[in-house]
Amino acid sequence: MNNNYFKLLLVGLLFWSASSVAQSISGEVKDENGEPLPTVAVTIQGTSANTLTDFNGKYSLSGLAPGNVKVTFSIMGYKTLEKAVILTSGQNTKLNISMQVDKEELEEVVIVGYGVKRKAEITSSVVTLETKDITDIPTPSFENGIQGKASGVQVITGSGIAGSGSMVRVRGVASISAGGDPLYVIDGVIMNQDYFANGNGGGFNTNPLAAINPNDIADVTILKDAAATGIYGSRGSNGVILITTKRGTQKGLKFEFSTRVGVTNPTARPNMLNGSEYLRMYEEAWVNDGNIGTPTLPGTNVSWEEAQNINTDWVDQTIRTGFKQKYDFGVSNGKDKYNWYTGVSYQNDNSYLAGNSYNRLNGRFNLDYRFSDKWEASLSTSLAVANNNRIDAAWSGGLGSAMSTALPIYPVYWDKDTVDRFGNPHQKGDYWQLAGTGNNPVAQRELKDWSDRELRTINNFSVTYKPGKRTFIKAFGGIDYMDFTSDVFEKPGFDLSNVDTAGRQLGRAFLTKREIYSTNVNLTANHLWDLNDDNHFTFLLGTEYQYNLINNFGTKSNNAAFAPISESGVFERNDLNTPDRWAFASVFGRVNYNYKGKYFAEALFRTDGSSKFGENYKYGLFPAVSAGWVITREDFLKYNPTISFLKLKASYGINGNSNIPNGRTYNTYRISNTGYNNQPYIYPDLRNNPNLRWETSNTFDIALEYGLFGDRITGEIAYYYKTTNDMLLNVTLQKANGFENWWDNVGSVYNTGLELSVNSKNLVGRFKWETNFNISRNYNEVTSIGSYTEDAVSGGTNDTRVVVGSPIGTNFLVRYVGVDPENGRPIYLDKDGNQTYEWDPNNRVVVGSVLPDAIGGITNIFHFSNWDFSFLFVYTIGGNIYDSSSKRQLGAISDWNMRTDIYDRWRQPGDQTEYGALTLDPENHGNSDYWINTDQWLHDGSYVRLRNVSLSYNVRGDALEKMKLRSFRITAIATNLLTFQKAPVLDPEIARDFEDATDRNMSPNITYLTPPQERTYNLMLQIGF
Amino acid sequence: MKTIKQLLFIAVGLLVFSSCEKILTFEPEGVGIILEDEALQTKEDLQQLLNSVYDVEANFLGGQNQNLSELLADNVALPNNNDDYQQIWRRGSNFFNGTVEGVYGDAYIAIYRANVVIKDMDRIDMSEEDRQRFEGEALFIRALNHLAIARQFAQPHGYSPNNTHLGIGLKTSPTFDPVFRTAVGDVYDQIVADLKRAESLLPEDNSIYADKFAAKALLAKVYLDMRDWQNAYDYSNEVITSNRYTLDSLDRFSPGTSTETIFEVVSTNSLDERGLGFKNNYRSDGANASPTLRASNELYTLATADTNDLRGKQWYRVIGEDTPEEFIGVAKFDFSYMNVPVLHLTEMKLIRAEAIGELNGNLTEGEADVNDIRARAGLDPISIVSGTQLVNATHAERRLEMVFEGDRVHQLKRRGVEGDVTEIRDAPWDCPGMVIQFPNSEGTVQGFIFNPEGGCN
Repeated sequence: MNNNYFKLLLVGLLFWSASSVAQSISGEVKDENGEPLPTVAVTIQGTSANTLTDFNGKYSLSGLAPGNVKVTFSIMGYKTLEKAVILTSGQNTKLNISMQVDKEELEEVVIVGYGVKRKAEITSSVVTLETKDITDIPTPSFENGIQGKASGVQVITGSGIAGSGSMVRVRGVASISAGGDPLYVIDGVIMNQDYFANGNGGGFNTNPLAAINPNDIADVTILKDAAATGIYGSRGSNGVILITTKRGTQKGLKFEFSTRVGVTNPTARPNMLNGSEYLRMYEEAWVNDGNIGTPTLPGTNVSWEEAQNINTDWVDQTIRTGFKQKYDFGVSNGKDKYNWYTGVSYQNDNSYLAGNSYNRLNGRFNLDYRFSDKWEASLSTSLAVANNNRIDAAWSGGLGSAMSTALPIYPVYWDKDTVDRFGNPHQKGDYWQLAGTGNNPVAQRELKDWSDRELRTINNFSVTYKPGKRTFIKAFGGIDYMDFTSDVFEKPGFDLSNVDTAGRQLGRAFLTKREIYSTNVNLTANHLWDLNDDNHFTFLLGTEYQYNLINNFGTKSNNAAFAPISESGVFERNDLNTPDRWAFASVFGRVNYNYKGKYFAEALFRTDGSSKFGENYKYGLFPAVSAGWVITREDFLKYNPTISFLKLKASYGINGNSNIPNGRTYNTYRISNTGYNNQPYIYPDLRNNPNLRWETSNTFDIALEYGLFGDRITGEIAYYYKTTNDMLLNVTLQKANGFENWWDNVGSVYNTGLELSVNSKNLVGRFKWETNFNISRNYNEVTSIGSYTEDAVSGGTNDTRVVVGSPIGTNFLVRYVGVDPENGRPIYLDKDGNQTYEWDPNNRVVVGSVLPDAIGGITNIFHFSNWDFSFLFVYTIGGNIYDSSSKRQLGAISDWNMRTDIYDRWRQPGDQTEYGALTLDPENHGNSDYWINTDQWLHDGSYVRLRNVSLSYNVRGDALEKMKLRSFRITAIATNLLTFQKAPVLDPEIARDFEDATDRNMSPNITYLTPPQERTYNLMLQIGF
Repeated sequence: MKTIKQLLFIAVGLLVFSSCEKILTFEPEGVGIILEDEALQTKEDLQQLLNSVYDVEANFLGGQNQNLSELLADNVALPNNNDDYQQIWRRGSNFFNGTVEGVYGDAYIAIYRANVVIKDMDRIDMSEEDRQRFEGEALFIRALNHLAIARQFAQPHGYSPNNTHLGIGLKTSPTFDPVFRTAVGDVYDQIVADLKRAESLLPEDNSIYADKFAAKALLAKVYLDMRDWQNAYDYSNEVITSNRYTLDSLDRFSPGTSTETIFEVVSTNSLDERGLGFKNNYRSDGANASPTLRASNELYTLATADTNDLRGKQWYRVIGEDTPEEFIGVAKFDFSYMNVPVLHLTEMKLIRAEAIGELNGNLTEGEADVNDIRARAGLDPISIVSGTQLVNATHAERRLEMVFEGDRVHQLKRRGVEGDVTEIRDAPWDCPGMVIQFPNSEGTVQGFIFNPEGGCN
């Protein structure tokens, strides 16, 4: 929308809503002791008229329309008052009131791990998002909805593949090889978080959070600092995300129904060369290289002459307009004794990638039952059945092939009956597979059935005993069970060389299965104790045992298949390959102290024992202390007209991390029955480190919560400093040691950052406008990697390294200067900064980092009458994107298609161009290898994205009653409408497929043929009755 | 107070429960997985561990190792469709060469396992005879691999006057300590020491595994590298005069054990093919019409210069003759499976003849060795009148006879040290790129010194 037009509209609306007439209301507000109460917000409901009481508690509102009005008085810590006033024409009404302290508001509780705390007592850093924050945006998975809404939380939404997960980082990344993701806890159940259940097959990591229905979520609380996460001890070093699902209320029977339909397309389209363009570039390279005559094409799959007549747009062949739909139905009820919620949901998400869809059926039942004043029980159970119809993507094929090795001069089908140069006959209409099935993405897709199925059930049951009014003893048990099956069938014809002795085409089938049980049981006791009216204590003591079992059944395969393995029987119990177990046993405690609601302190500890470490290092102690001071409760700030709330809080604590593979403290051998000379053999399999121990983080945090102008503006500013020591690294060993790698506690890293959030009610009254803004800066630096070098730990194939003095995920590359205008050769810099034509990996230096300088989001919400309008921008400032595939798309020409950017190439002496002279010989680009990484492909990762725009219409009042409904809302939502980016990549927001946890920690923002995110347009209907 | 008592009671109970070790200890389990303590208890276990050494060795010596050497020499043309091989052939290998990393790694995996055999054999009950055999085999493999790596990743013996130039990392125990490079002189000393001990420990007969004569044959080869003509003569002579081996037909590489094999890699059937490194890269018959490795034109011209030479006739084929895509395919490895001779009588005869020539010894014996080999190739005998002539004759036969066996470049480098050769494929024999770069993994500890790169073209 045109900016000026927008301003004009706003001004117009303001005038209209505040049309000036003569009536006024004025008066004085006092507290319960008769003292004047300043900074009380006084508003006239349904209008924009509002003001604050002054230092003497006085207020005045003029220019009001005559009639019945309701005046609202509100200030934090007091009960909000409403007064009805009848204004006759020309009347100046006096209205003096006195306000009562709101005990309930002070008692507003927040779940903070194993117990509840009064919100005002919170001395740690937590963010809570409610259901509407999570569901207002149609996302592939609930965690995408957090993006841009919580300071200090970086969410990188994954690729456009259906069911994609996100990369969530709470206050940077503090681990390298140990898992760097936050801990997810749903209704007290510690969730399994296996991103590698199916490796990175097909260019995609399985998302363990995808089975959760966002509509089931009541709220999400993110614990950020050590004081908040400390109660999770060794599990919380990368933050904790607590998910609470919906429960019934005692307000009676309620029904909720919602449905959403939408279409999707990619946020950007690859600009690949067409057939004739590719041939033109190829011929130019052929001539540049000094060749004469007709060029020979790579792989000689098609002749130069044949190629002239072929022009396949493989991008068109691999994408489509996607379609998604979702239906949710929830019922809740509650009486004195019980309350329950039940919901069912169905989602069908056909992504823009042809052949890819994700379907999920969810059911949930939550029950709370109160047997007596002393005994209560709660139950939560959920079931999800999901099916991802997979396709190959990224490096594995599909759109990835269309962006790389599926050349536009390759046809989709044979256009006539013929015999190829290998003597194999083909009929018209057969898939053309001469360059391999992977280079015909249509054949690859249609000849391969691939279904990833997940059955997930997350359950918990708890019993609470209250011996007295102020003591709660709770026994809790939870289980998260996941049954994952990947079922792949490459039909006969997929691999043309797979034939039986009779020459009949055979298929291949694979079935991979894994079961994961994550269980935790705990016993907690909370006790509230008031020494006197001023001194309040809350005690928590608890113990927990967590046990995880992963049954890896491995893969069954059949190289002579005519059907998927799932059709001919699946795994039996005795097929179990390698069970994997790990456990934690813990004792924890917490004391909260509250003096006059003004000073707060908290001390906590958790002792964890982990099965992942050996005898000497099994146990770790993780303490934390924190304190808070509500400055606005002090006399000197009590009646400040500007500052309505101010709370200073600080904390210090120690967290741990033991999130590494199991059994790393044992040495094992493997037995094989037939080896060399048909003899049985055994060989050393894992050489482990008996001295492995906890990775520990020490975090200091200080924050200021504020409320200004009667809490019209609220927010928080926070600073933290976190050092992580004894980092668990999966170290690459020297090959001369006879082993690839092992785990070691090495080195340290620190994260430090600033976070600012501002929530402003810009306009209140009839036309409401609210802006929520947050920005977070994190800086991260590796301070030691022991006696290892930067090559000891690498982010998979992504060329990110760990370099002392630089952030985790440093781009360690040869520097590129530009193209020599004289001869078109790329120029690089050697280590000392001298120009050279040679590309030599010895010249790699630190050139950038994948971690951004700052991230954040800004949401604007408008309410007017029955209409709601909101839009969310998310942004990233700084940090680098490495476009790993462009070295082939824009480098020396071979069997990769190129992007149209290549037109900016050198052709004659004097040309100033982005890209060098076209060549078929990579030596002309400095090395015999095509795959050379340089900072030519490293880009500024800054972007701003219009993540979400939504416009809703709510039916209210009489119309609603006529329909006999409680609520009725229609919303139009668009996501990812606009992106402003600096990097010349498809999508500046990248979480590609990762090889392992190290890669995941080190290599966000590296793209390798990664499908861009989807852009969606949706209509949503929500009905309550 | 009552509440506090209750809480205290619960807390104590829980502490006891949590400190239970059993619930926090899970040993690795699964099909085929066994803990170290249980893995090596009997002589049979140790034998199985030794089998695993050979299992890796078979992969290493089934062509992977030999090909790297061959790429540096002049027998093969620019490899087709293999970036890593091309990089080595162009004498520009860098530390990101994945193929090199794999081959280098295999050599040391076998060494690690051999070192475990040596370390653990003393605590396992067995006869002295068995113990000697275990140690002898392990030392033999360790020496064999150290030699193979030293020849490829360092300048040759003799490159510096006292052999103080950087060699490779020596591993003589199964530990995970930082590995640094040792001087080439020290590397050869360790190899000789290991082999001499192996020679004294190994039995004369040991099925298909390393025996006393394998150690002697390898010593002959090592001494030739060191230009220690007398020892080279003595050891090759000992092997030859044992009369255990006789020259085979030209199909030394073929299914079954050749009569001239001293030590080999065995493939038992087509599903147990251990010569894949050769077969997958060279084989050029039938469906394998586009092999990675092809003979250089220079070699082909030489091999077919004498039209009677059976080697020229049997081991090469011209593919796509008279088209722009014409190339010389190699037929030496056209088998669905084959045994790979690693040490054989042909080489012993060539070593003995060359040593005789250098020592100006019994020229008649040397002449006979060379003529035995020529006769098998269908060539007329030559008459030897001088040591120099004998040396030159062995050089000529050695190239044609042991072609693609990974031998050529090491002979050229040795002759470079002697001053007899100045260039290999138009580059100085000792330019940096003639030495393969270590894989990136070796630089993961501070202080490891890589080879200089390039400088050959």
